[in-house]
Amino acid sequence: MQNLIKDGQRQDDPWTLVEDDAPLPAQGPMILPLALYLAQKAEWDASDRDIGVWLNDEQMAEDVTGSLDNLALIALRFPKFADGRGFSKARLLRERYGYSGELRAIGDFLPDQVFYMGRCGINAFACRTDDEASVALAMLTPFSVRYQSGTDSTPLFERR
Amino acid sequence: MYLYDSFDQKVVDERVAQFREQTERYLDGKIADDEFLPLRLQNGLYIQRHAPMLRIAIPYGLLSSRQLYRLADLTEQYDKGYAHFTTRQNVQFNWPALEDVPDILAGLAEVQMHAIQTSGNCIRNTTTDQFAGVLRDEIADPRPWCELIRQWSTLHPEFAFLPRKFKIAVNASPDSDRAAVRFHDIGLELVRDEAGDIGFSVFVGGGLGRTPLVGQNVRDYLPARHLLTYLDAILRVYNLNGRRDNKFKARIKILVKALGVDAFRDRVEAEWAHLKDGPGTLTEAEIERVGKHFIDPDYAELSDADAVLAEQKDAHPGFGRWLERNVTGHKKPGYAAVTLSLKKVGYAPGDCTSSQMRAAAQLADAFSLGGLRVSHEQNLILADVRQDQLFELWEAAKQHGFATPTIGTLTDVICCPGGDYCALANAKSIPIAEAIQAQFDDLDYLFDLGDIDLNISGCMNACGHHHIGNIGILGVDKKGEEFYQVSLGGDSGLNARVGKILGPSFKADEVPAVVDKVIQVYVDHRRPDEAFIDTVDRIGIEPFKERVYAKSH
Repeated sequence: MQNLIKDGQRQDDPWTLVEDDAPLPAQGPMILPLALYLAQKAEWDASDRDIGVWLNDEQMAEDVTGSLDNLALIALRFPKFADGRGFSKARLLRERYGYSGELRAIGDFLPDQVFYMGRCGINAFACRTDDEASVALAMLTPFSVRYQSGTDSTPLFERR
Repeated sequence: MYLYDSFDQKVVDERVAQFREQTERYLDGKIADDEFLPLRLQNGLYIQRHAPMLRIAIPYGLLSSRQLYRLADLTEQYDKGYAHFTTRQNVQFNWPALEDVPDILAGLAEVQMHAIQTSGNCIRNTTTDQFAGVLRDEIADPRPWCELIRQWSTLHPEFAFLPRKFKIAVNASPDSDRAAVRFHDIGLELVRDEAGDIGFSVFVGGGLGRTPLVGQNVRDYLPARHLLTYLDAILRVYNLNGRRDNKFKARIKILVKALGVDAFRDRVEAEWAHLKDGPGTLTEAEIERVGKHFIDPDYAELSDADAVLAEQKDAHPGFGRWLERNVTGHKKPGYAAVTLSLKKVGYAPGDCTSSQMRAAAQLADAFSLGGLRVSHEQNLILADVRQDQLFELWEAAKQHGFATPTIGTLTDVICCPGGDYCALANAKSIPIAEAIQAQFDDLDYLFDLGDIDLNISGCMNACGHHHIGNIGILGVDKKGEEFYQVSLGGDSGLNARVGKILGPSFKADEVPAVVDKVIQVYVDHRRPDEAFIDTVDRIGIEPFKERVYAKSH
């Protein structure tokens, strides 16, 4: 099963997502709950392992800005596909706080949303199923025109 | 009006292809109902009481005759040969088949139309004054700004999954507000600063629905080039902070109310400080490019046709009445704006058959440079009619049932589709409108009563804007029976306010008599030339209450 799309391609996922209160994997890159990471930040930052964090729906971009240089991956969890907060958080992380690592969508999102997510700076999508990853891959760029600025373009009016 | 270039055309064409693929996947059972929901809603498609309903955008109410001809064709090809013009200047098909919708959208795209974001929790169609561009008193034409907002909001990647729907309206007239901007999530008023430069006064947090609130001013003057970045800032604050736990408390008005307007403003300004002057700041070139689509047509050099009109009025009193109610002044001498009424008694307000659509399109071609507008009062407007052709137009309009001379009066009812069509409604609204229109069928009496807004909604969602009707009627459900609550004193204009509820609700068959009593109280109390709303203001609702609820002897 290969549910991950990153930088426009299906990829194997080297990361383990650690749920709240779940045991940590013995080795390999892991995505920690933000609170767990922040509680022992110095330790994790000093560790040799690749560390990422995931933000739940209530956690904001500002909660992680002190650690951007230490994090190879930030995952935004969509609690429900209708909850669009992650779109704004992604733009803030990329455009305001200059985060350049992997920004990954996790949780309950639709393959039909990946175009907008990509325009907000999310470059990896952990889809719910293999089938949805196929759809997402096909739906990465349904539009060739972008009226507004995003992390991928300036506003159209500058090119008209 | 705005004409698409190759970029704009591509957006609507690609949207059709996207929705066609999504619909196929849904019909193949590969998308769950609840997950198809936001995808179809953002293309205007509801599942209604009898069938799906497709809401098509008419950006800020502007329509060409060519587009209206196409709408007529599409209603015959895919629907039952009529459509419904809405209170947000859009148009709805009530009976399309889901599998036909991609083809309908393709037919619309060919005439530069779409249904993008006409529903769902996203930024909806921007609305404005139906007389925009031909008014004498407007600060500047609001339509270029509406078009800039349309393009900015179309497929906006960050704001497609907001806590709730989001509506923006623009007004450019300092003396009146036909766009009801203070009852929108964002209301924009065009203003000029001391140097004469265009900007916006910004109101946030107005709205109807369950919790009707008047929008509050968050900025007196926003220089025009900053319009889009400021909108981004407001939307971002809302997207991140608006409530998502309860859809009845999810509109931005609830956030503004909870924070208080000052704290809300502080957050917006803090966000905007980052966005100001960034990408999205409008360029002179873009403002000019869009503005060019709205320059005046080639008007003839005329003078006002007062003498001719006076003669025609004398000879035809019916023409005089129509002139008084359905014809509006125009900034160019010798021209007028004409409202084609969709309020003929016996027909649902805002409904229009395919043959009427073709007739209206023909009239637009013959009398008004091929253009039409849709008003939030659910009528059609020909904005550029020569005064010396008004009589001819009146005769033609009569033939097609467009000349009901009641614009702005009690029977120019604003009305949602209600329980006859809508799955959300608690009660029917169209039969109530018809009963009131039948009760007040004496035109001389109606004219004597003057301007009265009567608005009817079939439920709390307030699509019929009942809160801001001078007389508002709301359908409510009482143990499975349809009842109607009446309110008085609502005003959608510059004195924006929500009407006060008169008292316990009424059965459907009591409503016309109740309205009649309300009108009697007005007639008894009014001063010379005092409008209904002003009398309500002066005497309060008590005298109305007493009369309406008086025990019969």
